[in-house]
This record gives sequence, C-alpha cells and structure tokens, in this order.
Amino acid sequence: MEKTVFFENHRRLEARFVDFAGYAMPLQYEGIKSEHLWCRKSCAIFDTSHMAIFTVRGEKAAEELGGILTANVKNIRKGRCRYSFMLNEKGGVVDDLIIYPLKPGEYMIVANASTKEKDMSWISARLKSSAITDEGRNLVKIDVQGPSSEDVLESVFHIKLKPLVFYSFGFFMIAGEETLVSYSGYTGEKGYELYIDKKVAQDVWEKILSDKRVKPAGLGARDTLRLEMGMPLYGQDLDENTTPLEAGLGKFVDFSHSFTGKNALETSALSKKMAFLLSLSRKSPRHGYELFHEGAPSGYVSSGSFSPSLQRGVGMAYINPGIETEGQKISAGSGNLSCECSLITKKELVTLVNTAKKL
Amino acid sequence: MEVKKDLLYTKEHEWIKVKGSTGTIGITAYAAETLGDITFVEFLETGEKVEQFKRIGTVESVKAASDIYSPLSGKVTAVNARAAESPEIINESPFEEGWLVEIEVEGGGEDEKKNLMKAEDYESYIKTL
Repeated sequence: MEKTVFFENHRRLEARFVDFAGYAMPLQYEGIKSEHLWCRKSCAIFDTSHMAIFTVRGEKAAEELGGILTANVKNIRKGRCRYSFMLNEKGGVVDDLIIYPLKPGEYMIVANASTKEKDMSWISARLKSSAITDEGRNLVKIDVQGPSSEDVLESVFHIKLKPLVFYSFGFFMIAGEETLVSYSGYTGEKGYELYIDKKVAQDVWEKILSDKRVKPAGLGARDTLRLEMGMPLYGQDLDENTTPLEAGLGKFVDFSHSFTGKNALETSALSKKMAFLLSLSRKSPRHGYELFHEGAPSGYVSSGSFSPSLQRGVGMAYINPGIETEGQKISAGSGNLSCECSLITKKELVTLVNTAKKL
Repeated sequence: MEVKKDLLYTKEHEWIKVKGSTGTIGITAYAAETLGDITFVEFLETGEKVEQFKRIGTVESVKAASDIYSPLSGKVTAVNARAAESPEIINESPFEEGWLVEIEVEGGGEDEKKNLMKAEDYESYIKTL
C-alpha cells in the first residue's frame, strides 16, 4: 500500500488503517461514531490526499472539457467550482468530479482516488490540443468540515473566508503558500477543501489540529457523514452502468451544450431509480442487499450503514422505476440480515439529520 | 487486551461464564475492538434451543454485520435488553454490562467444554491474529 504524506501523523494518533484505492488510509482514530458526531457538532479534519488532482491547460480547454463533462464549462462563473460527471456513450458515469476554472485556459479537476488512472486515460484520449497534468506530486487535499470550520481556519491562519459562498473558491496565504481553498465538502456541514503544497502539508495538518475545536476523522466517518446527506459514492451509488438521471442527479447535467453521453440520456428510459432508505430499527441495510417490495425483488442497496445522527440504519438504493415510493415500506436483505425500511426522499433524510443535530 | 481468567473462549471471540447450569455469553474485548462502534445486536428468542457453535445472534457495527455463535449447547433463558437498546455498552464493558445472552447449558456441557479455550490459550491465540 502507498502512504500519503500524513501517514506518520495518523500513526501518532493511533489510527486504524485500511487499504483504500491502494493507499493506507485512516479508517478511524477514536471511533467512527464519535468522529462523525464531532464533525456535525464542531470541526473535523480529514486526510483526502489520496484523491486525484489534475490540471488541464490549453487555449481550447473550456470547449474540450465541455465536450466530455456534463457541465457547460465555458459558462462557469469566475470563482465558482462545479460538481459534474464524465459520461460514456451510454450515459453511464465514468467518474464524478469537481471542476475549478483557475484562469482562462486552465482548469483544475478533482476526482476520485479509485479512478485516478482511468480518468487520466479517459481525459487524455479525448483532449485534442489541451494537455492534462497530474498535480498529485505537488498538491494534496485535506477537508476541514463542521460548524466551527470557518472560525478555526480564520483563527489558525489569519485568513478571511467569509467572502466564499457554497461552491466558490479563492486563494489564501496558508503556511507561507498561496493556497486554493473552496467552500465545499462531502459532509453536508459548512466546510472547506484545502489544496496544500506538499512541502507544508504536515505543518498545516498539525496547526489545524492544534485548535481544540478540531478532531481528526477517518474514512469510516467520511462515509457515514455523506450517506446521511444522500451523497453518492462512486463505485457504489455511481458506476459506468448508472446514469446521472437514474441517480437522481439530473440537475448537474446541463443539456444546453454537447457532451459525450448526452444522446443516451435524452433517448434512453431509466432502467432503475435512486431511492433513500430509513431503517425502522437500529439494523442497517448494506451495500449489495437485495430489496423486496410487497414480497417481490425490487432492486438493491447501493450504499448503507448505521446513521450516528439518527441512531438507525440508512441507505441509498436503486429500485424498479415503476415503484411508487411515497409512504412505502421496503425490506432490505434476506434471512437474519433482513431489515425493514421506509422509502423516503433525500430531502426528508437530510431534514431528519439536520433536526437531530439540534437535539 | 483484556482477557478474563474465569471464562471459556471460542475461536470466534465469544466468551461463556458457566455457573452451575447457567451460561452467560458475550463477545470479547478483542472482538468489540475489532468491530468498532457496535450499532445493533439481535438474539434468538428466550426458549429457543441452540447447538454449540451455531448462530445465537447477530452483532452489527458501522461497517459490517457478523453472527455470534454459542460456545455451548443449550436453551436461551435471558437476553440483555440494555445491550440491545444501547449497544455502546458492549464496546465499553464487553465482559460485564455488555453480556449478551444467558442459556441453560445442556447436560452440564462437560464434553463440549473441551472444544473451548481457557483464558491463557485464548490470550495466546489472539496474539497470533
């Protein structure tokens, strides 16, 4: 397994490691539940340096990227970043990513760790005059998330983050380096993603952690946090056989421009649709469990776990498009693993979690 | 890693404390630590019979679900409702407050006990894992 630049920092914190995309990553430190709840209450810092960071440069970069992303790249406003998909000809998701227009002809793309090589090949093969570079040698990402995150970063680095709105970014002086910080993340809390120069990375990590309001959180909590917000994980909720429309993420597809997969999205019927599960007990639906509606096989769980905020199981699932979900119950898993769930909307799930936070 | 002296252990990390014909069953500190935050437990019902090493319940953590197997054959006489309501106590106190199931041990269980490990053997065993 490869090590990230923060491996020693995690080891000193007695992290339990797991192999994720070939990297030794911290699964947890103190415990998944406590890290998760601390993030929603205060502030958590995550090592997300295993993720892919690319730069695409060229006079025609906006057009060329627009042709392969569901985002209409040339229309992205200055200082804004955008969540988007790269699709194959069938409209299936090759990866989900965030694109940052840095300056005319220069774009930063942040994608999943598990698809780094695939994405690099995919994009390279489709660029005509632009060039793609892997920035991973120089830049690493960390996520700082939670209601206190803005105050923590402002007090530790003496920077003003207030001008940033959700999905906007700017450059700030951090540890003597001009650093890109975006107001974005994978937790549903106010939070930031920091793209740090590798040579000051450990110093930045330790400085942020020195603030008593911050605790480290691992991939275990990262997963339960995003799941509570109904956010998809590539490889489970999104894959090359799933379209953004099936995933319920059509709002991130801009049909006003041409892109690979557009025709398939416009002409194919949905083979499945995304639904959200709330277990009626502490039992959790899990990735791969079959779903049964009124006794009949009706789909499968794409992601599932225990929700520390709700103290119940929650899940994301793909069900047959014909199933009416309002007020319906569904069964996930078989035999001893079987768990009864309500079918709810993403909005209902997020509202439940946000309400629980206040208690 | 805590291992209690007066208990018997299984390879699957269950423990049993036998007093007369009553056996109290739980999972070890090693198991609880490996599982991480336990989120859900479920057992066979009172009155149900179970055979040695057959499923007596399920324990779920944030990341996964695993079965718990009975160290001895018998009949379920009690389950720990507190552990079911607040599974954190299993992580906090796996050998005491976090006990899971009580059984009436079949025929004293003397033969079956030979299939279980004593504390020192379990302690050596977990060091190899």
